[in-house]
Amino acid sequence: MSMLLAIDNLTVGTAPQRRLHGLTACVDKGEFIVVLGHNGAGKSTLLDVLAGVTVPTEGTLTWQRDDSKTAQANNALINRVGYLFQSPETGLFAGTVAEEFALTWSITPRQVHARAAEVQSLLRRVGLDAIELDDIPATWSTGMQRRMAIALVLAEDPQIVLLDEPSAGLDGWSQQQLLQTLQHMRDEGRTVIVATHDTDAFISLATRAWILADGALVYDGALSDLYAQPERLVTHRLGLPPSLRLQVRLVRVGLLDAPAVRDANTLVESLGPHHKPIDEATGATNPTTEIPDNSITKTNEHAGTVLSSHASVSLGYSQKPHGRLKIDSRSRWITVSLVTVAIALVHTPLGIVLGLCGTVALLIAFGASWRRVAKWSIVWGLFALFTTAIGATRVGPPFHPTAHDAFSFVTAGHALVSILPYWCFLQSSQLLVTGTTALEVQAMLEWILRFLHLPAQFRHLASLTGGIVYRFLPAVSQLYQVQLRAYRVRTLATRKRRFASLRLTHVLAPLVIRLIRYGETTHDALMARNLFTHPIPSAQLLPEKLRLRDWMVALIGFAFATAVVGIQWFV
Amino acid sequence: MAQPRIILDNVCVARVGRADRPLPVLNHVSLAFGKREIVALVGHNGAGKTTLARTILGLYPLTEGCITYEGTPIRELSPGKIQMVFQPPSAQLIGQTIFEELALTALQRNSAITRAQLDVFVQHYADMVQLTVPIETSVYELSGGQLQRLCIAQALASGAKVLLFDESFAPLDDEARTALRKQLRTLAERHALTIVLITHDMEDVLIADRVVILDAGEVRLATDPQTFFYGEHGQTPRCATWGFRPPYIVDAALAANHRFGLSMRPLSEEELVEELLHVYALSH
Repeated sequence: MSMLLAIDNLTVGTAPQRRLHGLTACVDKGEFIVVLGHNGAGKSTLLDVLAGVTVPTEGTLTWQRDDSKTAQANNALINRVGYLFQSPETGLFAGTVAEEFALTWSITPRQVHARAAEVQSLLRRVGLDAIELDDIPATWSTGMQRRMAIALVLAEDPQIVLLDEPSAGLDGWSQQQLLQTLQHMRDEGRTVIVATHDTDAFISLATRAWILADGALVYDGALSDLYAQPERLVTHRLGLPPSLRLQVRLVRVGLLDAPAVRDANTLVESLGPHHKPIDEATGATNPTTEIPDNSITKTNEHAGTVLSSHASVSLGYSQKPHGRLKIDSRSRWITVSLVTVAIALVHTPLGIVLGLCGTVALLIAFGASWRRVAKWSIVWGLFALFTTAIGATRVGPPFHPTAHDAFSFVTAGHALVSILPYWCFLQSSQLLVTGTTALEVQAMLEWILRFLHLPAQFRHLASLTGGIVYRFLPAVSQLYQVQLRAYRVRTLATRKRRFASLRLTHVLAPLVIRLIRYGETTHDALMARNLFTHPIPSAQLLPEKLRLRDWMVALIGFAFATAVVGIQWFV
Repeated sequence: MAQPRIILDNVCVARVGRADRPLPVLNHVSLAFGKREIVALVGHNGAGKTTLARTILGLYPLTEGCITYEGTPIRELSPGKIQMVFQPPSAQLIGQTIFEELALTALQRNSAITRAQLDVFVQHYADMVQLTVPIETSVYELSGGQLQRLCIAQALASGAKVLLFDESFAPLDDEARTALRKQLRTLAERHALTIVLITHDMEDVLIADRVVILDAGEVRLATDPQTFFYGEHGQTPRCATWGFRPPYIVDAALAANHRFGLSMRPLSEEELVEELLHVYALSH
């Protein structure tokens, strides 16, 4: 077999939040690799990198070129990666069945109608019968949409197929259909890489297995070797697939010699009284799931090695959504608001500069993300450049009767100073909307309104509305990312990625549809949890009393704001 | 079984505005769910399983029939008795951290709970579903499987008597699935819960007390898992005739029955191993 792909020291993300690190492996042409790993181990990230959706932070992917072919043919081969990502129904955004195929094949829907027979045969391969080309997949059940997504991957005629949890949400019959299709692909010499939890289903197809644990590749060898050493699966918190669970029990009571890849009939044939805890022939220890095996042993196949365990590497999830200085959200909001109001009231250069210093101090104290600060600074910078340039350029009559073709640096300076407060506003607004959760916002609104002795009904309504609006901000951005990713994956082959983020019909319109559906589910969940009629008793989510530190921060904020405004009057 | 907890009597649901195409609707569905009962709801994609669950939750208007909870129509039911884990999991979360999501549920049950008690409560339910990340973790940092666990934890923590799970175990790994199945069985017994599992995984059916096949919005079969997997009076089991892939232990038991001339009908590995040991003890 010829090598297809070399993966060298692949790392995604930076410490401590690395989603993949130091992954080195190779993939031969025609292999069928099953990627295993517990939830959050980095399986989807790996497939994203292989598909070219995610760019690795470090390391390289080298696709082997076939010297007998032209460079163009080689590139075409690499581009023929079919990727069925997780929840592939999000990738159905084109509209009708014909439009979906049109997008995949980069032709017009009318041309798809001319190839109707081919489309029907693809749909039949995934068990979608009696489907018209004008049907709209968005109206189908999730399971049917997933099958449609598989049909679209098949339509690309991919040489390399990447599948992320392909059997999830499919009924038994569709799963069988999928397995048959994959078997055909393997037999045709195509390369298949599947991330799955359903190990038993792929056992007859797999030529190799990878185990990912906390972003590292900890096993690279035959799947059958894993079945002979089930303790490995236990060590990596994968649990045992049903066939192994039964075999381990049978071994333990002495009815089976050792676990292996066996279908039900083979298992029953192998049954018999066995009392030897160790099988001398293979040297395999008698598996007991209670004893995890950490030893590093050689497996026979594929330069197959069991890589050292990186199970102790933490993903660094402990990052709390609060700043450097752990300050109560109420105090934080009050301080930021006071400083912002003070900046809005001043208009002397000294006041403005003081306000600027105050904002910078707040950004540092509350540990604002420097990326976000930079992002907003760029937005502000462009705006500032534009307005100062317009304000300070003298083009002569009729606009400037007194001056001729000149640039007034004094005016530019004045304009820039007067725009500085907007930088402060942008940065304080990000301090207000990050580092606080929706429920905290809700609790805070409730607290402030109670402080103002407003009626209970008004308080509940205002705080619930505030909380829900706040909660939807990140949800919208997350769904947008999902939709954008879906678009990028679907157009991988055609590389229609320019201005992808602004594509109205393929990203923004489906986003709106998804948001409505998402909102419906949220509404249903809120109904079921009775959160509309009985307001969330959110007060307990905030610490009952403000600490001295919280009062101090608010007080400093108040003093600073008063000073800034005071200087305005007295200087 | 005593008086069933939930009774669906001749329930019909039609979806408005889609008269031109026959979409999953419910046709004259009559079912009863008892206390301490786990029911597996199976059927092919698009059979109307999710619609049925949402109908039980009272989210769809009935065109015919009625649904009662211990004799009370669900429309008049005091809230919080029935909970569901929806798809996608992220859409149903209200809190933005694991702590908030579960604390909210605790506060709904008892608003007088203290902050310290809240911490204990949240950690307890997070441990129950093996959600091992710190409880302050933002929900946006959780993977698909972890989100699913959080939603399951929320449903368990809600104190509802009827829990509906819509393919909630599908994205989980084998370890989590096995652990949760055991956990559900224990909880159903201990708190007299009624649990409905919408699933494609026949392993889930093994732990159920009853299995209901739904097809094109109609109940085609409601039976116990043994009859479903092993058939009755030598007939082909319904599991096979409906095109479901039987679990490994059922295949193994059938193969062993064939080889040793037995008629085992085990639903758990323990039972199967026990019976096989018996066979060997007798023959050796």
